[in-house]
Amino acid sequence: MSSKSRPTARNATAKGVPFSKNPVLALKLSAWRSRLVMFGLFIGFIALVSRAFWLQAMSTDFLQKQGESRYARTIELPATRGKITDRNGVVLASSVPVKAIWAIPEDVLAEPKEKIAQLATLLEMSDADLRKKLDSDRQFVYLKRQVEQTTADKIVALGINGIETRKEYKRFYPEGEAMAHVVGFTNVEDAGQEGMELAEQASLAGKLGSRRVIKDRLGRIVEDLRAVNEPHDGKELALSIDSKIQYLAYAQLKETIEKFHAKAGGVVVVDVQTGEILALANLPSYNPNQRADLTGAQLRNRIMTDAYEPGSVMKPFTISLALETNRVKPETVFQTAGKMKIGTQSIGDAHESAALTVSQIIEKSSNIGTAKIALQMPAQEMWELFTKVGFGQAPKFDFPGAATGRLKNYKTWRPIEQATMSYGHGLSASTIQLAHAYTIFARDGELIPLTFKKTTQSPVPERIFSVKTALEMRAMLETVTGPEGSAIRARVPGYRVAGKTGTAYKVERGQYVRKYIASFCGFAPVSNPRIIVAVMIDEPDPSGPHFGGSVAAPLFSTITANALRTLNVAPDTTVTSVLPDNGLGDIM
Amino acid sequence: MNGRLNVLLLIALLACALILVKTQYQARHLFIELERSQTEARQLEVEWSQLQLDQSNLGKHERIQANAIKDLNMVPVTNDRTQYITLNTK
Repeated sequence: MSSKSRPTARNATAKGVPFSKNPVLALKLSAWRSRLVMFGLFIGFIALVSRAFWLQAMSTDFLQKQGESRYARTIELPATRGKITDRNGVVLASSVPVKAIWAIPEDVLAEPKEKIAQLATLLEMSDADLRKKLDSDRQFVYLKRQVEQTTADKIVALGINGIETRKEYKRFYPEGEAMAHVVGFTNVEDAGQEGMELAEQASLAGKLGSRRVIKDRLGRIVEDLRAVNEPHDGKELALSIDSKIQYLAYAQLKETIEKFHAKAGGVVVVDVQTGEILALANLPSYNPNQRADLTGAQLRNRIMTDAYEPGSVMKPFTISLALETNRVKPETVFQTAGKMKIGTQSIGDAHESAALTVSQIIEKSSNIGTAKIALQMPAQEMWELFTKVGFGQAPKFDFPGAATGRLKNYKTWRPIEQATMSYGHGLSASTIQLAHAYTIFARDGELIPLTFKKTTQSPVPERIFSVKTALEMRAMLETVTGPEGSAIRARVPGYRVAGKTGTAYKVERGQYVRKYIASFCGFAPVSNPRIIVAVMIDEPDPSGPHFGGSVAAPLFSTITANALRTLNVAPDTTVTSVLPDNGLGDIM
Repeated sequence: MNGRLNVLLLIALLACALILVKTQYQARHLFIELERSQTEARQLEVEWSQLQLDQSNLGKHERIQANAIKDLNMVPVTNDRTQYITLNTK
């Protein structure tokens, strides 16, 4: 550059001096100056190259993302929670899209007063309440959730700054109170809280999907950027419940509870062939669509969660065991007169009889007779039977909060305990456990698992008793509803029914109190059982009728009649008017 | 010869480029159409579940029973007034 000047055509200078003769070129400059410039340029070049390298290689991901965010959007694809239907496809729970209204308080408060007032009326809250909600430092405040679409549209139409909506789902329960305990409900986040909604949360809940798209300036989707991550709607759940039987059971339970001024009650209807639960009703109940002030008593699914001393309903198990092990025959006679003393305690019968056959012990529900039979057997055998049919065991079906009940270990049984347990005192069980155990008598000695889900497969039975024992016991249980039995009011016109009453004192703080649980557990038709119906009435007014035979048995009768008619079961006996004309008749 | 081939190729290239532009345009149009239909499908699905819900609401046994008893003067069926017919399946 500075050293040698070549002869060139560019002689143009103002003074006519050729470029090579330019005096500036002749200046003697020190060599470091040119090196410095060289170095400066070199540094600049390196900086450029490294910057280019940095952008191209090191931060390319970040830059690409930044670019993409200018045109690409991720859209959340909503998934709907699965419907719950009954066995015939009637919708019991369904999700409908609604809107959550939320606000950025600062922006909203800057709006004119009348607009905020309009907003308050649309949200169905007072102006003051709305302002209280908006009085917050946060950037995000829910004003109201689960607002119906039409209302949400009106709110958006007000055009208030800082009011936004968010899509969410609301669950509707068309059957309301009658189905509340089985179906349960979800919270605002669409997660199951009770009943089958909770038990089946995993399969009912949908899986959100997403897709990455390019949007044009008008917000229309132009192209998918990658494969769509499909949303998966929750699976539909078909319950074993028959909504018609369920409604009838609920309505009749309500009637019974009102008539006997009872505190609570429950009914369960089980299909004998499949183990499906056709109806399960509890009172008091609640409306799952309006859950503003729920009490624990309303929420309680008494059939599943209340374990109580079942009373005489247990007798058939003890006596079947004695029949099965050939210790007694249906015709064996036992002395049942007076009181029976065991140790320092004595047990007695409500209706005293001098001597009863085994069959009559069931028919008349004799405590003494059952205790005498029980004391012939080792405690271990009884305990094994009770355990095998599910007492004191966690129920095997998938329902939240099902009670285990209480059954002491046989090693600690005293003779008086063994005697009382044989007729259902000193142990506890839930109604569903009783209904489950009664499948043995309805199914010729086989125990089958119960289910809340509609099934087409036949269940895997477990044999507990021989067919002979089961049939003998079934014949005895039928006499209970016969003219001499303890539950004549359980009879159903046109059908042969069998079952057992139970009346138990409630235990409060370890003491028996004058409060009762009247129950009846039975099945029909006897010639070929189709359904098991278990009824439990909690604390019927003790001044009125409060025995299983007078309170629970009539309810069993009406529910069984309706259920059999609904299921199109042909009558297996001639139709007769069965209500006796004596005093019992006018309790109804 | 060589020059003519180049011209031919150039024309082919231009044609391809134009077709590409048009296809892309069409693809986007169709995509928007598809999008619209899918939205409609979703909306119909929502409507369907709403209608199902309405059907359940209207078909409630409670309501049917009340209507039957009050408005239509019907009474619940009992067994002594029922004739059961058994089909002879051979």
